[in-house]
Amino acid sequence: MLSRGIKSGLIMLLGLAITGCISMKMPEPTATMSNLEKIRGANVVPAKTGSFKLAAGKTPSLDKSVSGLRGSSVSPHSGSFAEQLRAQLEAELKAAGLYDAQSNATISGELIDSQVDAAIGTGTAKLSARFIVDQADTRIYDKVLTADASWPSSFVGAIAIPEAINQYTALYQTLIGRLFEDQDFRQALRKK
Amino acid sequence: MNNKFQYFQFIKLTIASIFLLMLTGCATMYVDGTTKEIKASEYKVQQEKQAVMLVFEFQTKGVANAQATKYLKDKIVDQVKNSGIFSEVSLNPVAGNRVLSITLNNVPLSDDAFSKGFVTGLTFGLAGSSVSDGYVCTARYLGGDQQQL
Repeated sequence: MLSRGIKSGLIMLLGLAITGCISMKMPEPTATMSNLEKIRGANVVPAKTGSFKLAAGKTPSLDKSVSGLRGSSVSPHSGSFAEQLRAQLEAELKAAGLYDAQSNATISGELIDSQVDAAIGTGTAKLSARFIVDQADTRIYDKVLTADASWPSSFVGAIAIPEAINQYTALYQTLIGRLFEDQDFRQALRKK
Repeated sequence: MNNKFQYFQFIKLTIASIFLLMLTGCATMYVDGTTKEIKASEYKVQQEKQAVMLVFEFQTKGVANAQATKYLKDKIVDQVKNSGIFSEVSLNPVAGNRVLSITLNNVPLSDDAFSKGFVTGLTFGLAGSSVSDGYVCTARYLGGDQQQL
């Protein structure tokens, strides 16, 4: 009976060490210097953002929450990860002086994949979306882009979980950076 | 039997104490005094001040930390405004398209910070330890033509 009590106590300690209990709401997106330099150097026309939603056929929970954080959770700022991506894009365009609500160029998107795993050993995260650019009712760009990350992930939940959350939220900036770097995107919106 | 029961009670009490210690903390923090603070009145300021858009990002080990960025942004904006170096400090594009980027990267300077803390906690502070945290600040100033000034 004595050894069972000690075992139970040790198992509880171990469980507390590897898991965590953080519930975090992503803050409102802000522009980043690296994306600002990319889009300012692209010589493109101003654009506006359109609808960003979950891709057809995907489970609705993909847009609302992510698992793989050892019991913790991260939720989007306005209730939708697709909307979080739109807001990130808009923040970057506005900071670059390239957002124009009256522009006939509209950038819309569909969230395809959103995942994070704070596994012991190596953590991983992935964000994938389809970006569509329409200009005066003509589709000029349609491409799926992906951003992913992997990092050494601690056994200790108190270290691994915040790091996984940071890595996942940083993917939104990274994915917009991929869009800005994409030569087809730059060509589609290039100033004539 | 009575001794075994008392021993079991002692083990439960020890485990409960460790849980409580994990919830609290008992640490003293020191800021490195070698980085001196310079008063804004001692800055060399150009006579013709320019407006600037401020972009701030806090990173943890090189990865953007959105929560910390949100927490510190207003303080950074106030500090840049109060420096008196710029005619206007805005979070939006300004006339002239100048951009001041400030990145603060929190990097660990101690190895195995967690294991050191764990040992200190497990020994109820009898085995003390110290860990160091580093901050690398990178400031970039871009002109309207993307030229780094």
